[in-house]
Amino acid sequence: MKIFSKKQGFVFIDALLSLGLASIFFSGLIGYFLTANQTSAEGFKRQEALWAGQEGLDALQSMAFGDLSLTTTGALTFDGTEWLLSSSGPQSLPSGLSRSVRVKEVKRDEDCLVTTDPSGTVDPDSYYLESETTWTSLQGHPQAVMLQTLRTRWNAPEGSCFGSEAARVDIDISGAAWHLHGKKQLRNIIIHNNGSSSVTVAKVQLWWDYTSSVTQVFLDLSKIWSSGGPGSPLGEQFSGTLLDVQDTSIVSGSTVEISKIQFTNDMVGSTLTLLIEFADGSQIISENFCPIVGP
Amino acid sequence: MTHSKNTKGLSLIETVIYLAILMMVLPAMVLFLLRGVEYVHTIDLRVRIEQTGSILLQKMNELLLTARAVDVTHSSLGVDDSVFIFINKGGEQMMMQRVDEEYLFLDAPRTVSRLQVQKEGEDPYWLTDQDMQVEQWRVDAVRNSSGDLTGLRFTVRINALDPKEGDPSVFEASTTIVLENQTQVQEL
Repeated sequence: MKIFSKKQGFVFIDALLSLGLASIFFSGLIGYFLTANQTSAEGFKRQEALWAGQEGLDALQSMAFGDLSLTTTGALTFDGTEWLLSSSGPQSLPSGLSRSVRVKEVKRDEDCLVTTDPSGTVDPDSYYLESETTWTSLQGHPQAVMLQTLRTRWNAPEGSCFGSEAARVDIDISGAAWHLHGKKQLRNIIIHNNGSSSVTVAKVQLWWDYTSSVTQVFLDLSKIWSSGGPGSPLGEQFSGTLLDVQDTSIVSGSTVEISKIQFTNDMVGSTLTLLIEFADGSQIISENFCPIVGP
Repeated sequence: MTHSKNTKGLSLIETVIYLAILMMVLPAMVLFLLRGVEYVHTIDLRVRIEQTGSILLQKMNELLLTARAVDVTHSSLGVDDSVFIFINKGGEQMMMQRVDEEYLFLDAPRTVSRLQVQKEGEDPYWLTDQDMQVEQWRVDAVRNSSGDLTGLRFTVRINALDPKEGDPSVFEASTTIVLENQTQVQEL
């Protein structure tokens, strides 16, 4: 009778195999730890970069809108009270980070919607603010975090999208004077468009305290209303009538003169008030004034 | 009847060779394990420091954006160890400052600098843990070129209580919280 051998327990090759497997297992484990360490270090760095980027945006937003200037390589410094913007970026930050802030123009279409179309109009009341933080990863790869926001000058807009036309205009009545023809012509009322876009005069209203009627209104050399047209209503008009004048544009930065308002009677000594309504419905009204007697 | 050869177990020479290999491999394995434990410690510390810093800055953001007023007069701003006082959305005075407290850490008394917020008439609460050292805490008033208060700048540096060599670097961040659009915030 043959008794079969029972190969119980370890043989040498089993022991070597188990050692080999254990080595592979431990190598895998250490690889896992290495990767986890690297990933957490990268996450830490990214978090710092995010805070630095956010600080860049916040700093730009804490500055007065008028102190911002277009730049693609901006650097920020805090002088203990105020953030200052210069074009000497990118700037080095602690922990091996580098930050560059950008202030970019915003273009809008005729409906005031932001557009990337090159033919869009530059909005003087908006800027794109960008803050980009860069660093080099542990593997030597360049990394970046970029944050962007849109800032708008809501409190004192100068452009046509956020501010009324009237807000961009001044009326100077200091030189108003009665001229010629029995002192029935009012001249030298100056309108200045301080804004960065044109405004359109749509209506004119005048109040006076003499018995007289108005027959003509001229802006520079253009007749914008008269009793026989253009504009409405037709016919000579009494004090306080709203005159729907021929729409007339005043371009950005320009000064025009209400060169003639013709009355039917001598007006010397009377007190007047002038209201101008623009195409957007906004209005500007002068103080009461008593024109001087001109030549 | 024939008996087969008994091949169970290891021979003496195999055992010796096996032990020799084990002696070479075992120290490496132990080192690997120890290194792994170090990595776990490092990762844990880094994550905690990062979380503490982030939560802190986030919390300040939240508190300030709902604040009614910033008390610049009674706060000590623009210096290290700033005391920052503001009025919260409920109209109560809040005070934020760094406070030194003594704790038993690994059976030894240690002084830990922690950030504290105190609502008027209530017990203070901590913004940072006992084993996190707030090494720097500073609040600056941020003004625009017209002198208007437009924001507050917070600078914070946090480190582990007992950093070892090779531990992750400190969390150091500053953030400016803009007040300009928060119409309810007024400078007292």
